Amino acid sequence: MRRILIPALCLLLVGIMAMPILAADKKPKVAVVVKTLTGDVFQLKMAEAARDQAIQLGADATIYQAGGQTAVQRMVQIIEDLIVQQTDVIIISPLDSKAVVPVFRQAKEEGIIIVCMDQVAEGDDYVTFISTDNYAAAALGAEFAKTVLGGKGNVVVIEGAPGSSVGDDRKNGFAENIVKGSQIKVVASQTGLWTNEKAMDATQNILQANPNVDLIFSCSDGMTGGILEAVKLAGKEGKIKVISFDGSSFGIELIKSGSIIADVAQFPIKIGRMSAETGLGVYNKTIDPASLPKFIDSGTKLITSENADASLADAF
Amino acid sequence: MINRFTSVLKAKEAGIIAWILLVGLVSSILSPNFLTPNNLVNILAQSAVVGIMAIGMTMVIITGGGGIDLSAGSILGISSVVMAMTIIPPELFRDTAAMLVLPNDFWIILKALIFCLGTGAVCGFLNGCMITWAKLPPFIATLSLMAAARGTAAYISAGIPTYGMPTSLVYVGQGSISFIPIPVLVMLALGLIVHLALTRSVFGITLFAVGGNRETARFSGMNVNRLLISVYVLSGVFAAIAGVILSARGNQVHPDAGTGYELSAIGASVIGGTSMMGGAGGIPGAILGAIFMAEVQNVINILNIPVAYMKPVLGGLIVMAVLLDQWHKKRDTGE
Repeated sequence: MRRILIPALCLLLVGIMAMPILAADKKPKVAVVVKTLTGDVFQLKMAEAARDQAIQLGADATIYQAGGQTAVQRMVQIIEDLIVQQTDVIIISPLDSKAVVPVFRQAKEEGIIIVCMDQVAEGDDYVTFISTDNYAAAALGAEFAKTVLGGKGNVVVIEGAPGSSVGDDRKNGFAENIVKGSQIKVVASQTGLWTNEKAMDATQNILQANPNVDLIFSCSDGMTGGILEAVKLAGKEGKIKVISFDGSSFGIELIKSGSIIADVAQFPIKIGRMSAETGLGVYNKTIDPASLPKFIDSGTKLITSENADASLADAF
Repeated sequence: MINRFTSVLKAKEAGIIAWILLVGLVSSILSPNFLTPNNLVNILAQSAVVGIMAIGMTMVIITGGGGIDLSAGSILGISSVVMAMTIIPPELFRDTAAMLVLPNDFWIILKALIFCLGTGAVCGFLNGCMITWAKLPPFIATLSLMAAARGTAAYISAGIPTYGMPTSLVYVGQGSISFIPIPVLVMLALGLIVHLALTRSVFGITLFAVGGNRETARFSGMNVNRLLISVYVLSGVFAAIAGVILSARGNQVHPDAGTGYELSAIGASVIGGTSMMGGAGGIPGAILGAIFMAEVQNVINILNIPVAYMKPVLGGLIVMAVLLDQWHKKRDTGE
């Protein structure tokens, strides 16, 4: 029995594995590679938008996730597998700007078109990088904070995870611009590690050390819920103003309920769509990669109570 | 009186108490905002989640034979997702748009808590089965459940966090009785129960016997497998309770919640004097270990120490605390 069963199973397995190859047609193969879709609505919406847009443009598109905010090695493996599978276009949000450089080079040599979205890699093996200009966007938040505070006061920054270029850009964009031409002081800047609970603990501790905080800048909507809980527990609800970053529907609802005063919006769906269009455009030779800028700003917008309702329509 | 004082100094928790006081002393000198009643209460509240997990983790580590529960953080995540799914009406679940306002329906909340703790128990039972019946090393067994439970949590929640718990549940996480936060009371109550069970019951005797020498325990007629399974089930249940506290405190349920908390819990146990070799350790030390870690985090925030220094500082302090503790023990036993 076993003598027949094992070869039969092997044959079946080979058959299953060969099926996609036999069924394959001339559609371009697009791979969307992101850190994780778990608990990260931004990445989820961006990846889905890229995939859906690619499918609409007549490609085969699949999302691959590395499975964590720090799963660098897994992401490198995914790219290696995609090279073997002769993927045509890779749309990727690299976890680590350095670790992916060797596989990017390998992919480029195989003629694979790489588009970076949201986060960038070193080197120039990708055709372009499409993202929010995080520094400029955070500066927009800083300008609004200056007006609201009347040019003086104490502010706190709750940062993203250490080492994240996106988080650093937001922190610097806010902290460097808020002090320019004002008497505002950044009394504390601490990490919330992109998580609700760590942001809550950090805020709670900072408020103990600094009783006179006027405003908190949160580097992500994903941490703002925790920051608000900490402000509430400290009995400072309404006294401390909060500005957040992302412009998710959650953040906009918080503006409408008066919990935060502003949210700096970025557009993950737009980033995803633009990435798919650019990648397939280069593949179809309708876009000349030589003429593409290395960075494309997907735009940003400051959402306040004045435009909250209108912004909700195209929020993620 | 003097006798009692020296017995405190000789207790196995003396090392960790000294560390807590030392860090506290230095911090009070460096910042006037450290030694305030509010701040001390905050430190205790912030230690509760890791402290509750460390209670279960300590029992697991005491069983010896490489006993460890790497899945505790993932069990926290999946149990809180199950709790949220039971409380939140299906049409609102996965609604990221708003802070949900949910009714305080006693029966629904009770059902959610039962499902939550049940999930923890089932996960712990699976760990126990893999370790006793399939004879997998605890590291491998719990590592596989760590991945499986986190993946399942992500799958059933579609990877989306949910904001807003019923106010009665939030009270469990944020409220206080007189001035002591409820999470701290939960941690102390659970700690006391387990401490008594470990020091004054057959369960405790069996646990330390199995941890000391598994073969001897088996030959003495102890049911080693039953003990191992119950210890892993308890660790799962404590992780689920920690999940309830974490969700209630942050007013949010996140499928990635508790990522890496198993390592903090292991750290708290070890700093508190539990031996990774098994057979020795205790609950008071584990809770003090959790308080120590929360204290260090608090000091980093209060003194506004830059982010990049945070983890090395925490790592360095853990090593120093354990080294000092070992030195202390060696001196006491005259080795």
